[in-house]
Amino acid sequence: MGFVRDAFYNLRKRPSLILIGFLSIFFTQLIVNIFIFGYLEMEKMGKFSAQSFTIKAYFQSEITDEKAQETVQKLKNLPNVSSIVFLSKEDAQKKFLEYFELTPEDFPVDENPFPLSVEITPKRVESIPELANQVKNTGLFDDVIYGGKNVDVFVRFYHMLLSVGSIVLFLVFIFSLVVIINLIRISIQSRKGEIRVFHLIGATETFIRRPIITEGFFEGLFAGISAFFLSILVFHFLLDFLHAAFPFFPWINLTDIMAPLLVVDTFMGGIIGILGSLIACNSVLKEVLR
Amino acid sequence: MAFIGFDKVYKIYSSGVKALQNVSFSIEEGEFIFLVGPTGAGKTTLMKLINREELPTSGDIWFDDIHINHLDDGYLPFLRRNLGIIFQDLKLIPSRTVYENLIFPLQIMGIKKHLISKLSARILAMLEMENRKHHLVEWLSGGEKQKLCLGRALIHQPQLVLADEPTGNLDQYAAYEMVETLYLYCREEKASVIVSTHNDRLLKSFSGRILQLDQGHLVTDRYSRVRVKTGF
Ligand SMILES: Nc1ncnc2c1ncn2[C@@H]1O[C@H](COP(=O)(O)OP(=O)(O)O)[C@@H](O)[C@H]1O
Ligand SMILES: [Mg+2]
Repeated sequence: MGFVRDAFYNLRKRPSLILIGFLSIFFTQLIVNIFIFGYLEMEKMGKFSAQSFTIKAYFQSEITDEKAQETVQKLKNLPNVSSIVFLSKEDAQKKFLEYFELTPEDFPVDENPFPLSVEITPKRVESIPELANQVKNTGLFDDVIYGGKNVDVFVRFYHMLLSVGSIVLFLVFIFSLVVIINLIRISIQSRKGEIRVFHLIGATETFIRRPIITEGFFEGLFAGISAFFLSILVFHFLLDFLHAAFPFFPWINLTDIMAPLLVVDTFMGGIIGILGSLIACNSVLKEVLR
Repeated sequence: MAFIGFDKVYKIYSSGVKALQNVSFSIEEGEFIFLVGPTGAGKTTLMKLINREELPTSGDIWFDDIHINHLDDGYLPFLRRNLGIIFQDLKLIPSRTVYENLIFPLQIMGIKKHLISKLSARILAMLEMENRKHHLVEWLSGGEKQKLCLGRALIHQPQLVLADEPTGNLDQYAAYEMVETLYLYCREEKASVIVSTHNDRLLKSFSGRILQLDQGHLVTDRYSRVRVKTGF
């Protein structure tokens, strides 16, 4: 484990470089954490709201009961469908009469005019438009209706968060990677003499790389873990406040985001560290050793 | 086959300086060799060629049965582990302790801890530097640094020791002790030792082969026997 001690020795020797590297990964992780928070919150809202949004689809008049039943079975197997209720003509009539508080006598008809219909509850709100399309494309329905505007706004917001989020995440990832690469390069340059001596007395390149990469890994790991703790602290107070202020809104719980934050922060921090030092090694070690 | 072989070796630096010209010789295992010649004669260059810090411009260099010119870069560390080198410019790491500098050759070979402490204790005792073990190298005197280099060159018991003007910073007595240590190492371990020097009194104190360089040419290759050890 000598190379781990070496890595710490090197970390200790250049506090200002370490601080810059640490901070760049730290802030990257904070931004990542905000997006994880936002994403999980949307996720929760999506599941929650799905209960209150349904798709109604009315069969064409020539569709028979058997054909309709068969279609319901097929739709039930679609991945985005949470549940599906089939309404016969009689059900529809009953519902209509109940709604307007009428008796069949108040509304005498020779033939039941109500169409067969289904009411579909989706698993997730943002899948409603797509699901509605799938239903429409069966060609068996006259009309497919869903909660229109609200759903569209939600869906648009959801997609925006995802796309903006992934672009921003990509950019901050690249940014902190570039910072780390350059810091490790400086760190290698400043130890040029030492590295040359090692090489001259027979150290392999692996031996020389190992403490450098370990150094990058620990720097990233510590920055990630620190970002985790700070985020948890901030989210703790934020969620406490939100739960108290808007108790009926579906806020996530702190415990729900702890595991994903910890995993993402440690992994991403560590990976930025390792990747950065690997790239730095490849780019400067050859020139230092020759 | 010879242990070390130089065959018509030329080394011309990119500046145009002809550091070595048509140098051929061979060395057997267990030989003790003085490499002499004025400053600029090519002594350091010759050692750098053996360590493959530099490649020859032409000619062939053999180590055991390895053709050094054509050695794959990946094998370079394993060639160098067979060598113990006292560099003319020492190449110690000033910000590290005596102990850390001393054990580098063992560390890079992945030697186990208990063996490292055993070997280092022996070397520190030999150098009479036990009380400097945890001192930073930058605190050492010139002579102590040179002794530390001797220790670092011997600690992993190499088959070949290259000592490039190891007595530069030493007084006569310390210089004698340093070369005596190398001489005894050569005898006891059946290792080859090449010492470059222009200290004539040393040549008169130890039997050995003398290779003399002058302006890149190998001008003398002879044995000198010391019948009565002069001592100091
Ligand atoms: N890297 C180099 N580039 C150009 N010339 C060099 C280099 N190293 C040594 N020389 C020249 O080669 C000659 C031999 O040098 P060197 O082998 O160091 O001699 P010595 O060790 O016998 O004093 C000198 O003239 C020196 O200036
Ligand atoms: Mg020299």
